Amino acid sequence: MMSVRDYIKRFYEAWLNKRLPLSSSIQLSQKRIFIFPNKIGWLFIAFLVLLFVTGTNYQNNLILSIAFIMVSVFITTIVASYQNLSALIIKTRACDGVYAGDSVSLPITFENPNKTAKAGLMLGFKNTSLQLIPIIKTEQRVTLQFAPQHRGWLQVPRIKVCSVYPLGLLTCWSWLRLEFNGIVYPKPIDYPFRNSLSEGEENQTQPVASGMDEFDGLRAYQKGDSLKRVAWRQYAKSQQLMTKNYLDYQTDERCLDWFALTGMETEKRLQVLAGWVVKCHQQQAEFSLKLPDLHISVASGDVHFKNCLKALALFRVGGVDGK
Amino acid sequence: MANNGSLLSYSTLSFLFLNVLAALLLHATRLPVWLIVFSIATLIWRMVVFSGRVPKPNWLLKLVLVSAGFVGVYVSYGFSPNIESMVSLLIAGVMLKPLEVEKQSDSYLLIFLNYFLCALLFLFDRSPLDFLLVIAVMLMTLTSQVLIHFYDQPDRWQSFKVGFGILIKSLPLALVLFLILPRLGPLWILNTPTQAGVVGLSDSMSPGSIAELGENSELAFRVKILEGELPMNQRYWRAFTLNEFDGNSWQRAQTFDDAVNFDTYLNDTASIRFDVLLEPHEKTWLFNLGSAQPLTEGITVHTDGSFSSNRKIYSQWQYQVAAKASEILPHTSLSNYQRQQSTRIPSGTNPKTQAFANALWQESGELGVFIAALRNFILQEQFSYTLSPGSYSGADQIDDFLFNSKTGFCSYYAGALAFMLRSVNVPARIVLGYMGGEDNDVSGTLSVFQYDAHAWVEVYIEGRGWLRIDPTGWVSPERVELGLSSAVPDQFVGFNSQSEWLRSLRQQWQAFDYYWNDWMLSYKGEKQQSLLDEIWGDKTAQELAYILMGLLLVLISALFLFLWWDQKGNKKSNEQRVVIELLNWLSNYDKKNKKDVTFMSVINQLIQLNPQVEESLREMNIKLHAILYKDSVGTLTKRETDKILADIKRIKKMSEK
Repeated sequence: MMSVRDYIKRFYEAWLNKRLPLSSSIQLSQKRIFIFPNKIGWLFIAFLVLLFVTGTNYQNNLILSIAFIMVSVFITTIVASYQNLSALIIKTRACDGVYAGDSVSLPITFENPNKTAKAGLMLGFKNTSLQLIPIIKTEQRVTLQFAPQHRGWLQVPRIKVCSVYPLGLLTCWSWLRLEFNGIVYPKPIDYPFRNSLSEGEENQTQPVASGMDEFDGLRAYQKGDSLKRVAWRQYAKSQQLMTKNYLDYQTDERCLDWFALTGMETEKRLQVLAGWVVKCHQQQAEFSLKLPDLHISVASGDVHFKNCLKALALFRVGGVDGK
Repeated sequence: MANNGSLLSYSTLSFLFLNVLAALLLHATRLPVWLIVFSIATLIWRMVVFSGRVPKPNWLLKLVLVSAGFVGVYVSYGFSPNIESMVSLLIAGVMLKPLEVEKQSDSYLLIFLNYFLCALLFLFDRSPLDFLLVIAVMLMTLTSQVLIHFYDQPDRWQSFKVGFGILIKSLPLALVLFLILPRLGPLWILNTPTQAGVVGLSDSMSPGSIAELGENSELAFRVKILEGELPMNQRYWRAFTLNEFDGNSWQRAQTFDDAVNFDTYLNDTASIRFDVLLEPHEKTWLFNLGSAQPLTEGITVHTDGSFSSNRKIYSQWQYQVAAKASEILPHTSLSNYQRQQSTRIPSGTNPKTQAFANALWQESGELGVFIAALRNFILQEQFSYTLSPGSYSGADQIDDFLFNSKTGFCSYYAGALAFMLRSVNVPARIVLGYMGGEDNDVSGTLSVFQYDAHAWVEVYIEGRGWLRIDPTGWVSPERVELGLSSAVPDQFVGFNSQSEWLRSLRQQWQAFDYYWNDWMLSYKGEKQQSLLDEIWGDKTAQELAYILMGLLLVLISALFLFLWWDQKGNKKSNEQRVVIELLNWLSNYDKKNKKDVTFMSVINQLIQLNPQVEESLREMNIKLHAILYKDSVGTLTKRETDKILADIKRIKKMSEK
């Protein structure tokens, strides 16, 4: 059973999402702008009551007139604070690729089509400290730090933009659902290289990915290590399974194969593959990538590297807009 | 919230403190000097702390200082609660706050304090000039309030413009509120006097007492005559009568008689009707003409014909009076007690005067002749009228005055005359009040100043009533006919210039001041009701409700109109123009689907709907992509936009074939 609170929360979220569609360019309008008195605003209202009582008790028309002016100022400020956000255009710019879990700078451009500058804007995610943008005259570029957790198209939660300008009595805010044309790569993990299974068990006598030319040392046996590489002599001595490790040759041509990792769950597989891609790229090796419905042929270089990571990131993710 | 940016810069802080200083200086004349010095010192201290050379005070020091402030207020004022001590206490309480102001959020308290100090000024001063001064300081406060929201990029001129704009835009609504909001009565009785007190008449009269007022040019009250005319020599504004003489000074009678049926006073129709706009004098007595009847509630009429308010007058108050300007106050018969009271004099005092009066009474035999003889005596003996007659001392001051110095002010003449009348058993009493009033042709009002304070005598005529006799008029007819400025031109403290231009300027100012008082200060109660009645006409509650609802509706529509206009006036960005064009196309197929406003999704949907132009659309998508995500700038230029818009139209046409 869903509690009423959850239900309301979900309803609110759905309403907000419907009201504030995802976009790469947003212009703030009355549909998106919310205004409410903040703590200082309520204090101000209490102060107005005090002023009114003073004026009434002393039967002093001039004190009352000041109270009336302050009430009107409060009401005028509603319009003024609305105008400080209205018509502001918020656009996203191209965003670098990022590994899941890492932080990326989201590039955001504010454009002010009005003559008067927008002042004292604050920007940030829900429940985080807000970043101040003191003044926007015509255009202002800012970046917002964000650490996506899942691979795929970069999806950013609602961003709050708010200001208490001009008098600090009212908070005027809007929620932005911004679309960045960014990609989140799977988080690369270190995992010993394994050649494709499809080449058969019998091929395992041949040097595997890391050409087995130079013996590097021993390490603890891990599940999935080839039996051919177990140091049997050490096992006979110490009853401990050790695996022989070999240094890679940098010029090696490797095929990074999805099917070499059977038994692993999809995300883990993609992370392992990403780790291999990164390693190969660091070693400037030539490599190819093989996924169930995609094959990127052997190449090297930055473009190839990005292509491979992108393929991993968008593996079975869906349409171009991340749906 | 925002962290670093909310620290106030030196520039912002100094402006805010100047503002606090300005608000404090509004009260400078009333605050103890030490408090002002202390407050300024805290402001300077904080500014020096900013430079880093002096540490911030610790909590112990602050506690000591605040306690010292409270003790100081106690020492300055004692425990008597008056408005000055309240304001001082408020300032002493928040005096140290400037030392703690670092961030934007700390400064709100100071800003609210500024507004409050501005408003509190009106407890003391209410002139138009004070109002302008307060508006100026409020504008400055609004400017600081905007300024602190510019964070670390303060711009005073911009802040001023914004603050000024807000104030100007607020005035119409404030005016409406002022006009229509009903004024409540005091929520609880709060008659705290001002410490300085006010100048005016006092309850008793000794010979020198009124002369002090002769040197004071403050306004006592104003009169607007609504019906009838009042020549200068009829302007005897009665306050109250003095019935007890102790040999030295005249006092009000201790027993207060009951309210009187004023029909006996006004058996003739009243010849004159006027409004009195009274300056606060913190007493209950009011001013009227001879036989008068109050037309405003809350006024008691006494048997001596004087009025009193049911409450002390702490703020300006306006009341209306119908009166008959005549020299006699009808009173058909005196009770024994009244007769006894108004003939009583301490026996043995001023023996010369008593003997002189008795001798003269024997000679003349009847009251009219007796009074004429007294007048002759005053005229023949070359008495003179002056504001500074020197001091009289000793027990027999009237003797000294009549037979020795022969110079004096109205109180001397009135006191002597009443004493002489009582010496021969004729009921007589002193009336205190004001005589005269300066006409203002612009506003049609007359102003009565403190130097117009006057004392005269009423003598009882059997069977008729109390007759006014002003012995001052015998010695100085100018005082009665033309006013004090003509009677003692050398000693006159009020306005006394021959320049026609200055005179007219003064009249303009006084008229403005009158309207200010009439509208700004006394706009409440009946006055408000009558104006609103004039505006609304004779409406029922239901009609009024409709009108108010209509007004609300107009207000809301105006707001929506504003939002629409605000939206319409906006320039569209180039990207938006492209999206809108694409969406328009898409809406041919699906009216509702406007949710995803990115190029890619719209184009993808269009492709599905128009497979025949898939190639062209894909081409355009790539082009758009190339422009928008090519680098970090990613903005469409005007030319590119126009080209793409043309493309869209072309493809759309193609798809329709």
